[in-house]
Amino acid sequence: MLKIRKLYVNIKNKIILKNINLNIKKREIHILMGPNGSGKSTLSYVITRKPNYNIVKGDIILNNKIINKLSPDKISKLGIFLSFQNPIEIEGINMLKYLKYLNNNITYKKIKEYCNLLNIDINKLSRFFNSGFSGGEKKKNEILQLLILKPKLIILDEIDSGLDIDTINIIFRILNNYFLKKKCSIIIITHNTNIVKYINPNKVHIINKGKITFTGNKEVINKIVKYGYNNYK
Amino acid sequence: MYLIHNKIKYYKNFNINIIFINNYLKEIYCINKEIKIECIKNESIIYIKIINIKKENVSINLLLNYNYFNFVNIFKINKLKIIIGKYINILLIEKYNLYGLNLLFNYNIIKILIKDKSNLKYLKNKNNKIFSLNKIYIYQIRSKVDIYDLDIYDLNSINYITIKNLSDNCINNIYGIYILNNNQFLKNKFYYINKYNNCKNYQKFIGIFNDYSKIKLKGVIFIKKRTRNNISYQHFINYILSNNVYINVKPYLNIYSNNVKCSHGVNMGKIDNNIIYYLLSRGISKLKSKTLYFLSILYNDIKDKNILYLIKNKIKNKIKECLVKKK
Repeated sequence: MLKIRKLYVNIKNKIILKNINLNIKKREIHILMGPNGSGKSTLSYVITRKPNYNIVKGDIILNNKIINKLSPDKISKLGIFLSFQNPIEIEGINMLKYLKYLNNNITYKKIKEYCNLLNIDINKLSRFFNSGFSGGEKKKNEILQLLILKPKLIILDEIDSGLDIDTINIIFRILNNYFLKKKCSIIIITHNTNIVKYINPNKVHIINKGKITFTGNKEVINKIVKYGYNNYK
Repeated sequence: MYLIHNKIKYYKNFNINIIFINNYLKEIYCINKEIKIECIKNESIIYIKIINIKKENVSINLLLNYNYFNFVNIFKINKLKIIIGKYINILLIEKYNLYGLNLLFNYNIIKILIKDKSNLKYLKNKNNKIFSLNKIYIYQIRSKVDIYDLDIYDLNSINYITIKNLSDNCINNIYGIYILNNNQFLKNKFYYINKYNNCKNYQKFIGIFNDYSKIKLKGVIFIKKRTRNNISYQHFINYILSNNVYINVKPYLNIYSNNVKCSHGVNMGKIDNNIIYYLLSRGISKLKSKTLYFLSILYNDIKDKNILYLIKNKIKNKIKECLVKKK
């Protein structure tokens, strides 16, 4: 589904990602872990082609099509969804109207159904976008947008940070259901070593200083708990 | 004259239509029985007095319906004085219709006195074909005034708005929305003069400027000696979309009293690219994202749904025009 070949990325003339190789097949769940500032979020931004994140070398290939030069909106339309680590607030945009912008065919009944699934108070959708929402509510809102957009490749940037145990359970239950039903692929960027309790990853990648230093199965997480990232430099 | 009369539109949504032809008062058309209108016409000035008969709160929509035909005398100045009586909630809107004219220079002077416990919402409007010079004076007595100054049209304009409190406990808000592109020029001056106590004044001006547009804004807050508990807030926010834009904004505070809360400021900057990227990453196109971004900024402060309904399409179209041309 998604292939990254020998990717080098620079931001403001400084190389941030070096020689990244990834191959994510259909119906696979990959986890990206690594110390703070190692380039995990940068990789997610590069995949969705954030401006000023320049690809120096290498290719990002989605379904056999190079997407290096596409704009973020076109990439989204190809089916890639990025859930942000710090979702923004936009005062002045009504939540419900915004959701209609995302998918014109979505009905109020369907939105209400998704809100019930995510335990979101439907009345809060009459507010401005993420305005006055707590950190957890903002993350739930990201998942609500995911359900509305129905992507094929989901990138979740620290979706579980700052969430209470019930919300984590709700979010991963929905993600697991979505994964089974829609047969999509998921990349999860996380620091949470308990992630394997909620989801069953196919591969775990460790990024350090802009390089993928290790790729293995979920058992590597136990080693990280014991020894940290020192063995994966 | 008969033919001209046939062309003029009456707007049924409005309780009161005050119809002008080439800056001469033609007719006052009122369908509200709770309101009495008195009119005195001089050669130089027109006085209109709106009185509430019932002495209970009455809500009315008033349209200043200006019609211009090709024999207009551009030296005829429209001088209008409106006195709004007690307990009236009034929505005042200007509408300009041009018949057989491609361009017009228009000079208006409007003075409004608004009395106790009345509310005025004034939507200052224009037309794409009018180059205008407007002077508006608002005098308040224990009342509330909201002015929406909309300058999103193609031609240049100069506006002077003065608000003067004539008693304690007056509230007034001014929202200015300016979207300029090409070689448009706009010059606006706002004066708020307060000599009384417990008054609130809130001014917010948001501008989006592209191409070679020019703007000169001046906002003066004047609070006299020995007044108490006055609050005044003035904020200019300017978004610059081109390197050739000229912006000259001067906020002034002339405060001669100690017991006040006043602040003022100017912000200038570009689009927040993080918000645009967020919207793009959801599959919304670049043009729509930017439009949505600016609409969110402009709508954030307009709480009145009627006003929003009236202006939102105009603003949306102008923003789109402004952004597409940049491409």
